[in-house]
Amino acid sequence: MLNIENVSLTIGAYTLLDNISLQLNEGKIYGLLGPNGAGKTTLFKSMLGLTAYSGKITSDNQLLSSRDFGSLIEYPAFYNNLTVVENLQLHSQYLEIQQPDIQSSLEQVDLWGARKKKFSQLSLGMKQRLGIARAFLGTPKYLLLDEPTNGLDPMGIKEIRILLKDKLKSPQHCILVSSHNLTEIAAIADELIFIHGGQIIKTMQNTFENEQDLEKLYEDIMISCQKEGA
Amino acid sequence: MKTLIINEFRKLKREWFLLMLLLLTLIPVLTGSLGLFLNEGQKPLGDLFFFINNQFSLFFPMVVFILIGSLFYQEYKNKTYINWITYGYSKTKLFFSKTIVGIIIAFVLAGLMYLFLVAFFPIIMSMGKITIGSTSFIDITKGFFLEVLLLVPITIGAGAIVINLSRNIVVTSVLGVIYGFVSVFFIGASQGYFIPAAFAYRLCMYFVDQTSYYDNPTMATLTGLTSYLIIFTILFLIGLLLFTRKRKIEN
Repeated sequence: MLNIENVSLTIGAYTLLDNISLQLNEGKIYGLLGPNGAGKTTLFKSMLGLTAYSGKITSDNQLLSSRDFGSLIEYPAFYNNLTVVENLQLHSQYLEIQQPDIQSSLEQVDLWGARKKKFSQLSLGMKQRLGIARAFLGTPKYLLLDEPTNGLDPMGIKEIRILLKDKLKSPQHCILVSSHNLTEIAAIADELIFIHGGQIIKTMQNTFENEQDLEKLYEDIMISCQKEGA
Repeated sequence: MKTLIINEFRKLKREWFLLMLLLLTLIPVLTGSLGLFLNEGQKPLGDLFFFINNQFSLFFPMVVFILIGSLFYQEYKNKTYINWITYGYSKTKLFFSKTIVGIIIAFVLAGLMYLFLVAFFPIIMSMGKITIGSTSFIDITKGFFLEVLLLVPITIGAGAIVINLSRNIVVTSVLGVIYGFVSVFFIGASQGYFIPAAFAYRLCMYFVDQTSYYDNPTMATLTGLTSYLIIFTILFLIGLLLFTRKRKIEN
C-alpha cells in the first residue's frame, strides 16, 4: 500500500501541493482528475522523489525507493537514435533487471513487430505504448501514468484503455492514471481522486455508468472550488 | 559505476556528433601534412609539429568542450533527464559517469590524431619532405600526451558547467569555440602559465624546443601546475554542485 501523508510543496508564493493525504492499494486503478495546473504531475514527481516536498510518502510502511515505481511522466521520453529494443535494454541495465522479458513487454503493447525501429521513427501512439511497456518492465509495485493518452487519436486512446484494463491491471500492481479526459477515466478507473489547486477535493469509487454523470460531478466540484477560491 | 559508464557508451550508438568531433580533431594533422605535400623543400620535424600543435591547441579544447556538452545534452534533448535521475543512482555518480566517459573519449580522439600523425610520418619521411633535427618523435609523443593530459580534465570541467547551466547545446558550442580562442590567446604571454591551456601548450613545446619555454622554468612549472590544480578543482566542484544541487522541483 502506498501511503501519502500530509504532503505539501511550496515554491515562493505558490503552493503546488497542499497537505495531500492518500492511501493507494494494489490491484486497483486510480484515476486522478483535475484541470491543468491542479498539481497532478507535481504529485507524481513527488512520489518519485523529484520534489523537495514536506510530509511522508511510504510503501508498506517502508521508505520509498524510486525503483518501486514505473512511470510515464509528461511525455514518453527515450533516446531517439536507439531502437525500441535497445531503449528497453538500456532501461533494464539501469534498473539491474536480471534477464528482462523485453519480448513479452513489447508483445503486450503490440510493439514487438517494431522492435528494430529507432524511437524517432515511431508514431506518437507507439511512443506512448512503449512508455507504458517501459513503466511495467521489472514489475514495479506502482505505476504512474501522467496523461498517457495525450495527443492520441480515438483509436489510440481505446488501445491504451484496453491495455491498462484488460492486460496490465493485476493484484500486484497499483496503477495511478492522471487525465482530464473524463471518458477515459470513467472507462478504466476503479477509484476517482479529484485534485484542484494542489488539494485533494474528493475521493470516491467509480460507479459511473456513463461519462455524462461523471462530467456533471466534475463540473460541480470544479465550479465549487473556483467559487471558494474567489 | 561500471553500469553507468557502460550505459553512457550504449547511448552513443548512431550519434554522428562523435564523427564530427573526430574530423575536427584531425584537422591539424591533415592540414599540416597536406601543407608539406603541396610545398616544395624540406621541413624539420620540430617545425611540422609546431604547426600542428598550434592548430591542435586551438581546436582540441573546442572539441572537448562540445563533447562534454553533447554528452550531458543527450538527456536534455531527449527529455530523458527525469527518467535518468529516477533510476536510483546518486546524482554525483551520474555526473562522474558522464565526465569519465567524456575524458575517455577525449583521450581516444587525441590518440587517433596521434595515430594519424604516426601513419603519415613514414610517408612524409620516404618522400624526403622532412628532416630529423634535434627533435625526436619520442620527444613529440611525450609533449603531446602531457598537453592532452592537462587539457582534457580542465576543459571537461568547464564544459560541464556551461551545459548544465544552459541546457542548450548551441550556447555550449559557441562558448566552446570562444574557450578555444581564449585558450590560445595567452600562449605567447610571458606569464601565461597561470592559464592552464597556455601552460599545457608551452609545457608540450618544451619537449620539442626548450628555448620556447618560460624564462624561469622551475618557477613557471610550479606556478603553472599549482594554478592548474586550483582552477581544475574549482571548476570541477562548481560543475558537481550545479548538477547535484537539490531543486525544489526537477524538470
